[in-house]
Amino acid sequence: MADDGVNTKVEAVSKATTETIELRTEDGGVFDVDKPVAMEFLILKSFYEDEGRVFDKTSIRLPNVKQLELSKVIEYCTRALEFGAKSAAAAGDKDAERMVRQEREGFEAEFVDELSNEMLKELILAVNFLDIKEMLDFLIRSVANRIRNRSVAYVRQFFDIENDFTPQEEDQIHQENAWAFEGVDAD
Amino acid sequence: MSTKYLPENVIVEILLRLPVKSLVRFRCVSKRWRSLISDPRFAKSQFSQASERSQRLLISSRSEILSLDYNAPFGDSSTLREHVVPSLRRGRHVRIVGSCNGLVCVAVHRHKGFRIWNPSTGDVRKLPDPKFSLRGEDYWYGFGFDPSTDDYKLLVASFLFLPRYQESEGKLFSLKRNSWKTILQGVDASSEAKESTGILCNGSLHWQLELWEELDGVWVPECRDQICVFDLAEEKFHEMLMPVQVEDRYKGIFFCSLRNLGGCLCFISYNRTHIELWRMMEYGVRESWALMLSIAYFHVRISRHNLAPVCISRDGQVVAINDGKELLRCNSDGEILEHVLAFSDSRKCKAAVFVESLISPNHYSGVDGQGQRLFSDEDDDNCTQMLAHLTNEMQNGDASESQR
Repeated sequence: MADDGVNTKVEAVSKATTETIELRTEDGGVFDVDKPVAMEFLILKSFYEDEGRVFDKTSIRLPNVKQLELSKVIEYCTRALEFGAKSAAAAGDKDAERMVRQEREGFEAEFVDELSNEMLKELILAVNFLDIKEMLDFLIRSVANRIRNRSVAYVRQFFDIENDFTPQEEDQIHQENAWAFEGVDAD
Repeated sequence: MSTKYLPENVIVEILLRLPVKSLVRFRCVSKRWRSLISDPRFAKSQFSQASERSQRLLISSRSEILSLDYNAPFGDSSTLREHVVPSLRRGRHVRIVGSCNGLVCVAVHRHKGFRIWNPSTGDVRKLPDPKFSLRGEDYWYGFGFDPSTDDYKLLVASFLFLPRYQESEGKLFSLKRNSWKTILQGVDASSEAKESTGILCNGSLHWQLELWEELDGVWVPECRDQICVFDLAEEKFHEMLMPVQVEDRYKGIFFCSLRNLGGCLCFISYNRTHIELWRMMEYGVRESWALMLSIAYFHVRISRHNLAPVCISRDGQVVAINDGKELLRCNSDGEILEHVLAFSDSRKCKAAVFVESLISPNHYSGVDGQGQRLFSDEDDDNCTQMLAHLTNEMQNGDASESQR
């Protein structure tokens, strides 16, 4: 069993027997993931449900995902489930609900703060492949926040987009709506 | 060597979460992005999904058009923006005739030269000449969105006052049909609208009718208890009654006007000592008119007959134009917090609130789109909160109850 030293056992959200599934990344990472977390990956969920398979400890290979990304995904999804449970437990108590919300916002801010632009994009690709709606929405919002007050040049670099306007065309767009180019963060 | 290009559907999702200013700028990123951002469906999705809609005050005087963020102090010039309506020479005077979903209707003349313009993107569409046969003395205008047909419509009515009766001619333009239609109008001969611009609310345009009568040889304005309503979907006029309570207070009311504040039809009346703001809590229900605010005149400089409230800011402050040249901000106690000269060169500046959007008047010409939620440009969540708070106060019967 090729093990590059990344054999993560993730704490289960629910108590008792935690069924786990083994996920292997394309760069040799091996992860033991709890079932509730794994079922957040709709690509896995449909695999088990459609095929009518029994959830057993088969090892699944994820061709488009690397270990760094998967560990981040597992981290986020595990915490998301925890927050979900806490939120449900706090239902009706406005103060408790607010506390859970703030805790979650704090975690999400820290989580995304540590991510470079490259990592953010890699995560989006991974999460898009794994089909994890909540996390994808979170990452998309994070990118939007990150670029909203940035320059056109910054955005082109972020998304690896080539400028196919001529200088004159670009100039014209600039002039037509000069106000939109003011007060933008320096690159 | 994984591909770092994000799939386009993900990029669109990211763009949908950006504010209009960013989107207008990012049209410059590439031709593909310009195409995505300029797409009519994208504009509609962005508009309906936007969690924060930036609202601005558009002011036009004889020689310039400016806009500002009315939630920021007037003294903060960083929010000031100059505007030129494309294809019109800078300095050409335009009157603002209506505003809806980020589209502003302006007119160069009273009876022709109408243009639908988005100040945030610069998109503009010149409308064909209505060709009025009646050269009127007075004109009514109304511009709004009809969700039943996903169409924007402009109403222009011309009035000529002759002894004992008036002649009138009304025309309606539909962006989708791209044509003017003559419409019958049901206003009787003895009334005239106090203000020419109809107020959009609930899919209809509203004008408050004023009756002038002669008392002992003097012409006295009397607030008539009717509101003239034009339903944009049915393209027909009908009437609505004013607040019952106001009828008794007619004596001493100098000036009344309608507004849409927080999505509700509001009625502003001015008497000797106060400006009162009434709100129709339930549209169409006469008994639901409720007094929301009473602002005492505080400063001697207010021209009582010419104080025109324009909008309510996020902090619950009333922004108004005084005497056609000053911008005022006051709190609900009537204390003036700020006032500036809007234009140094002339009186008679007109103002309208518009919301930043990507909606383009050129998207509407027979193209089928999804139904779009009706949203007046003065519908402001914060305003609604402030009004809700006041409603709360009223229900608790204690005006001194402090905010939580």
